[in-house]
Amino acid sequence: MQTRVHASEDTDGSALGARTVVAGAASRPLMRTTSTAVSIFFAAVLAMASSRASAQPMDTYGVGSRSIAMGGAVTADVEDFSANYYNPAGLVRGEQLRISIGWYGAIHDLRINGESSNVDPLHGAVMGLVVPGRIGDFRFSFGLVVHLPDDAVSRTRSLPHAQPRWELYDNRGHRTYLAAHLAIRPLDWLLIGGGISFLSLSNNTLDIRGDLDIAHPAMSHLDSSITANLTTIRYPQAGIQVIPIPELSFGLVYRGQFALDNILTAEVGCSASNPGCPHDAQLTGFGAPFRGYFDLFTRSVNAFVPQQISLGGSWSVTPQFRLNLEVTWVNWSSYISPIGTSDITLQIDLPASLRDTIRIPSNIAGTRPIAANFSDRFVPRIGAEGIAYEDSHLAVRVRGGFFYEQTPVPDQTGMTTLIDNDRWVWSAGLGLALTDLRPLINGSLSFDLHLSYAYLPDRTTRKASFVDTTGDFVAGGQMFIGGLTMELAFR
Amino acid sequence: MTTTRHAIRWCLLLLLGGCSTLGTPASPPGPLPHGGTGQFRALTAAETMLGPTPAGITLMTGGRAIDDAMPFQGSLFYAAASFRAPTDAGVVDAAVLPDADVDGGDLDAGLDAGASSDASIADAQAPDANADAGPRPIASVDWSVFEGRQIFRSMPGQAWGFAPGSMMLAASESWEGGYVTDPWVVQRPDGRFLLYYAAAGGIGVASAASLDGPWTREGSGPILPTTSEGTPRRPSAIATVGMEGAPAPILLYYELAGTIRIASSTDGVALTDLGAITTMPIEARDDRDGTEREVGAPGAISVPTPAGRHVLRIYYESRRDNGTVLIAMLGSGDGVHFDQTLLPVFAERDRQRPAPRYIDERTTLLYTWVPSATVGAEIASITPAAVRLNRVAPTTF
Repeated sequence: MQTRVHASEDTDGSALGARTVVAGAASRPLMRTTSTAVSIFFAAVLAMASSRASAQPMDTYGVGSRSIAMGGAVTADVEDFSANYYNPAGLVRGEQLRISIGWYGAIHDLRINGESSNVDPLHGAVMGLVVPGRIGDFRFSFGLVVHLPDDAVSRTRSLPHAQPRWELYDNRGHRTYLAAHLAIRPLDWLLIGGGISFLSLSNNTLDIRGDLDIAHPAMSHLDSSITANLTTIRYPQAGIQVIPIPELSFGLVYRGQFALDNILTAEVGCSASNPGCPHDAQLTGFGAPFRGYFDLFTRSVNAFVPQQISLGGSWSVTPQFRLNLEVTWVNWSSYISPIGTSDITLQIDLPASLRDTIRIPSNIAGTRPIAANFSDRFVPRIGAEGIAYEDSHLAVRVRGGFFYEQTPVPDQTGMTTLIDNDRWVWSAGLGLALTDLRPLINGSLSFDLHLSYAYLPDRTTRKASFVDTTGDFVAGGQMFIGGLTMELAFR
Repeated sequence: MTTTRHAIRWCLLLLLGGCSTLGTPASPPGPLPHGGTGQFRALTAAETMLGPTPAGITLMTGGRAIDDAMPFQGSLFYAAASFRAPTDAGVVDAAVLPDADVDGGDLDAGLDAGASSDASIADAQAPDANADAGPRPIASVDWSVFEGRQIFRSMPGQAWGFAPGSMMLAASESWEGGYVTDPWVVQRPDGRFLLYYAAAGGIGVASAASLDGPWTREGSGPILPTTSEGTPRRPSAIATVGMEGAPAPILLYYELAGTIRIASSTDGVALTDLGAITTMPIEARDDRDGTEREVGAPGAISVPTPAGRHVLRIYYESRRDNGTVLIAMLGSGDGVHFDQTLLPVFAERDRQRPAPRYIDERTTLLYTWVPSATVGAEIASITPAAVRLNRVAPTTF
């Protein structure tokens, strides 16, 4: 889907070099304008970014067929809509208006003790925009990407603290992701981009009121209401690309940390400290009604994405072949455990005549967070792209990539069972670009296919306690990921 | 016009994308491993295909009382006794005899409450008809009205081991006092089977080359005789194959004076005392649980794990000062050092003499005994409680 032939007036005519050529025109007369614009740019980014943000599935599955096919090693070499994730500075690399739409899918074959864990597949649509602009010779660009899963706009899941779960794959990908970025090119060799990503914080409240007939449940009368708020949360992202010579570029990107809280409250009746509240609950069926009160509060982190820094390089070895290398530092050690807080209060004013018949526990234990103790990791990536065929109307590119992600999750020998394994990911892709569509449109149309395979070798866990509710287990599996992206680029 | 056409095309594309966003419900988690720590629930008649008797109850053949049982290689070894014929002096008190037909009737009334344990406590000896208000002590079987207990093996190849089968061992030695009970079978590393049992004078052992017998007593007396501390009871043995750091090929756990003790052995006959297991009292969930008075009746099993080792699980009775019984669990890697659950593995307060049966890394069955209507009954329970067994042909499980 990359349309690098005739990509801009700065191109050197080679397909792969199109994004790396630095125009020789001096920009000094525009320095004042550039300085002002840079200030506005950073002010805008800082204003948009907040301290909290959301989870997104890009870390696991990537975005954009070209970038995925190259193993995600594109921090120094991205200019399509996927720059919104990989490096927003790349948005200003080209000068074409790009509209992209695609479909992706991931199938999980993850197993515990040889049995499928029923981790749902993930699939949906992805759409993106790159809108370049220019004020005089000062170049800037806006970018937008939307990741829209088929099955659910957002899914939250709170599990019992001891229940085994594929921590990084079970639920994290099932959410909508939207990112908007602004990139500028203050110097011909320097590209700067930044912006925010959006997602939602779920906050659910369940209110129940009415009378509960213990002896005749069918006679109970309860009214309930549920309030669910999906509040926008944001996290910052910023990056730069440096292009010292046309054949070489470097990229550096920072992605912020964020956590998605999952809050559930349920309240039945009025507490003893608030007897006049409007939704008193009575228990009947044993003579005179008596008051009851139940309160549940749970708070957990449903998805957490750690801050990350990627540093990469891209070398155009020949006009027909490009090699990318990069490494990503992932701050997993700040991971917030999904094992959250829960508090339960039960107050029932039993009449004296029933105190020997109905036993009300004096205390119902809640839960408290358990530290995840994840470890920081460096993720190496390599990607390559070559031109298999090219003429004045058509270009065919082949791509490949690989990355290795060592699991950040420590051996789960204790109470929690957050399952994760090392991940070896191989990817491949094919790009077909129709580079001359005139007179239909003054632009190009490209189709990019990606396929990747992730192997998670078996990991054996021996529980320290011999009365652990889960016991020893072996977990492993594989993932199959694929997708297609279409891009229309207007000159 | 060109712009309009482009706009229409893109709208169509977006609509296609939108059509793909059709929601589907999330899948439930797949089968999860489970450490056998409960909560257990009684199997239903639909699961055991043993209706119309109460859930999971077995071995209720007319004219017999059941004392204790343990599953081993597809069958149950259990102790049972027939009613003693009345003597001329009429020593049998008709008031304590159950109905001649005990295949359902009275037991249904006592046990159909399922998880509501208090309702299933034996009714015949309930001190107060209006006793719903509080915990009731568990009744016991008056064995004096029965013949001497014998050890049977249920018919092999039946799913639950609930077919009566044939007699394996009867009391013949003077120290046995006319009965044998509490059977527990283990296979020695050399392939020979050992049958531990309790009798009046302690714990004895018999051996056989086949589970069908004949069973030959090892020695002329008990291997664990009565001492000043009391009479050993409820033997439960395991072969320690696969257990890392186990001190001997055979480990025997038994009850003595309100504690669970360990003995090790190379051949299963000559024992070395390893002392008592120190357990923490099981916490009361509410005041119906009372306070732990003593422990006993260990039921042990060595379980293979996917991690390439065997671990030991011991289910045992936590006897309470109000007469109820909770079932708790110990776990060990070497058979002599233990971890312990702090809460019972059963909701009920009337289950006794737990005997585990390992199905797979997810599922454990636990056979327990309840003294209902003055005869005993075995109940098969399962953990995790959420597991539902499909109807299976009796010979395939």
